[in-house]
Amino acid sequence: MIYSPDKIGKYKGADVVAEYMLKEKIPYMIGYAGHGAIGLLDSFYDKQDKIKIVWPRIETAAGFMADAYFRITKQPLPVYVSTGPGPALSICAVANAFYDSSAFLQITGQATTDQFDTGALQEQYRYHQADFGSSIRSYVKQSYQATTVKQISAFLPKAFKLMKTGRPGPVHLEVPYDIYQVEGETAVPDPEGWADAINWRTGTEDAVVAKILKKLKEAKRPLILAGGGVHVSEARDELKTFAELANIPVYTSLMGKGAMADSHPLHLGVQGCWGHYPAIEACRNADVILVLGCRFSDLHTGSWNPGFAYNIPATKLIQVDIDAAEIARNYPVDMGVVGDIRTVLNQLISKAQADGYMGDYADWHGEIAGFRKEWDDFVTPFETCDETPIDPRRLIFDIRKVAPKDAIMFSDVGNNQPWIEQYWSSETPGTHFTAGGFAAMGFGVCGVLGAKLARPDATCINVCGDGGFLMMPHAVATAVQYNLPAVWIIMNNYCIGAIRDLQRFYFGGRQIGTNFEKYEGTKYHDGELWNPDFAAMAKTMGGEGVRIEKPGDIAPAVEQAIKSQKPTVIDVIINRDTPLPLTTTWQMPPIPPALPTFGNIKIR
Amino acid sequence: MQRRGAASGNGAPLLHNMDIKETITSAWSDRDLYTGLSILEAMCVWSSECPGEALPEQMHDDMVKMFGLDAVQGERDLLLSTGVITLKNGGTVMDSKFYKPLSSLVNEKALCMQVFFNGIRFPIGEFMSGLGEYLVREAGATKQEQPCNDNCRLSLTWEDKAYEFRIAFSPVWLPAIADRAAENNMFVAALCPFAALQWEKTMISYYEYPSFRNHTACYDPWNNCKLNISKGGLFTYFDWYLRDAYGSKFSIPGTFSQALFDMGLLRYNDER
Ligand SMILES: Cc1ncc(C[n+]2csc(CCOP(=O)(O)OP(=O)(O)O)c2C)c(N)n1
Repeated sequence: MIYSPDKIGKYKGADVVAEYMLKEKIPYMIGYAGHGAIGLLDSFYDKQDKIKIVWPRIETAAGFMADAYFRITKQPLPVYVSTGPGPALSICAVANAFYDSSAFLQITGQATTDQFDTGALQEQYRYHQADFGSSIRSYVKQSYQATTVKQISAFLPKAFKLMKTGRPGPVHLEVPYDIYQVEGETAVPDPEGWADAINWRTGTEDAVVAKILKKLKEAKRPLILAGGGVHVSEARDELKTFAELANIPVYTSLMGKGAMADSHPLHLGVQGCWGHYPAIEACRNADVILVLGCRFSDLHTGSWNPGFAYNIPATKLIQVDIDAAEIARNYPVDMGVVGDIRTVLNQLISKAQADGYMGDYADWHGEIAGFRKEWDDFVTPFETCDETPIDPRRLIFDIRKVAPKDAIMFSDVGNNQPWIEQYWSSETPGTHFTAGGFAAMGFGVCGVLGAKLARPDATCINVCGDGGFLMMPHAVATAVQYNLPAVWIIMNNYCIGAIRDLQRFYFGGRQIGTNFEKYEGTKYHDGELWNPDFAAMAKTMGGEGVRIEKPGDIAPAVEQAIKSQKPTVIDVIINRDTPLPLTTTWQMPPIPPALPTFGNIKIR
Repeated sequence: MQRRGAASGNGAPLLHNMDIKETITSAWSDRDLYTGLSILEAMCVWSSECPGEALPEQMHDDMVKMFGLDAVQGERDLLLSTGVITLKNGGTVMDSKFYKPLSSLVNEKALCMQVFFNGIRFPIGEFMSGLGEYLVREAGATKQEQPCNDNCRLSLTWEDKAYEFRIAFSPVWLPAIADRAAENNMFVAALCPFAALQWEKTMISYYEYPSFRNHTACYDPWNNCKLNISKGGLFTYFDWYLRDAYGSKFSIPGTFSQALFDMGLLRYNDER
């Protein structure tokens, strides 16, 4: 018997979910209804003062919002959807969360238990009865199917435990919709005993800590790499303390961007295909790198081509990760340490303080100053670039000038993402968000609403492409509906820019299916460029909208959008032909890697 | 031991192999020593790689591209006249007994080539000893004994793979050793003034061969440039040696990148 008898009572399945969510102190449940979800919603009817139901206009958006909410608060939200198409539409968001180590509880409905394998409306039955689990399995830490009320009680705390401990990830709970309504004898478990009391923040052994410090001390050109794991582990303060103590320069992956203030003297920027030259050149020269929660993806490493981003194995790695599967996945390690980043950093700090360890590395810092100058000389002129169509860099610099220091920035996916990566200065740690792993378009457009739910007082901005925005334009309606005054800034280039650039640069300029244009009767790819009027769209949805074509109009428009406290779309016509400065490379085999367009060309 | 040179038919002198160094040196006295040594070096490498086999036509053509037909022809005639090489199937073969003294001659001279860093001129041999010490100290590489006390070669093992750095007058012999290097999973770098010889133009066609592009590299400490897309990870430390010991950097000639682009091994991210 798993529950103490005094807690047992008679509950409907949906009541168990609702009561459990109260115990988890969940403020929002996000989703989209269908016949497979209304049984669940009904149990929240009387609890709306404590748990608000938020429903954007598509299931994917619900998942993106919950994902963003988790990234900011570390609180997983339940996301309810119906059966069949609803769950199917939410898969993309589940996967997006999974590959960025974010979390939410995806609750799907299902045909009733007595109808399994009948092919009842929206049942996945042709290979196995009630089989949505097969579709979602590769994107969740666990997929549960509760066919009794008691199982709902058993699975919920396990689901929250899995989402919150170790490397976070989404969990799926499927409930056939009869089970929401039938009563069963069970207890609503207490998260305290089943999940919250678990300390998962494992450190490492003292000898390992000492060895890491010794290696860093002996190094001549050490670096610290802050990956997305630093955000996941909420180790930003510890990162700063240790870096300052050891006097070691820090750089990040795209997912780690904002782990340290960009203006911190030890911060070098982002390593990657469209990263910052000081970080990249430092990586090529480093002898030891302390890697904190980074999995060395293709975009981060120049598709693992030696010399572009890294010179491993000449450069030795000390890789710390909570997930052993990510250690030495792509590069051999000098030391691998399985542990929570915050805990291991605290151990390093204590030992460094006890030993009075303060790194010198004066020559190294001197070399790096040279790399910085090269990059600054390149970047600075774009701050005042007056060209029209607007240079993407000028746009981002101007947003930075008027946005509060702690503004939350969500990029979407596409060129807008690396433009933000390279030119948005993230000043308050933990305020830059993007989808780096599964990289689903629309995450930023909807995620910014999750951010607004999490931090209502913060300025929340999404910089997206015209493609990404038009996948999820209804986000504006949701913002109006729930009074979430987010700001969307569209980098409007009349194309899905990132993919058009692949055609320009990898496929000899043969652009097909990537420009937004009108069909003019000859062939589909010679038409006039066309997009809807995004500003007008925003207005018809009840928000504000403005179209910007001149660089001088950017700052006032952004300032006004922030001040207005109304959901606002700023449609900025940018120069669609400006290529992103490629600072390492990215390869699409069998096409060979491209040479960097910035910095000394390095082949090895 | 004495023998008649194969060119004895046209009146070549009888030579003792120990005299050969002197004979050649004196014959060079009124010629371009650098070209002579480069060609002799290539022949020595070839004869040790493929004893008894005629010098491949392609290697001959590469030499012509670098030194000019007259110079190559002149050196060939000289060597034929001394009996060091003989004609075989239209090509030339070095008599194996001359390999040792002649390669030692080439090596002696090669070690004396002067490099220039930070206002100081010193022999390349010194540069390479420094490199050897650096690779042992910083990379943890293990030095291998040279069987024939060949100071122009630095042989090491690193991460279970063999590496060889060779001081040379020219890299024209590099294609000759590429297949053997690949078979033995070994990496060979030539340290030679390739930039002055415009080698990157000559050698680029060999990049079609994975053995060549993955197992050989070329460094020019006279002009601080390099040609390397090989998979030899230890070569990173060569860059770092230049950085740490001399505050300098090997750059990659634009012609090389362009050539790799032309043959589809690299791309530029613009619409050229
Ligand atoms: C849902 C989804 N569909 C397709 C892609 C593939 N994809 C990656 S970037 C991109 C283009 C994005 O275009 P846009 O939003 O206009 O941004 P831009 O690149 O122009 O900044 C596409 C189609 C994706 N990542 N996600």
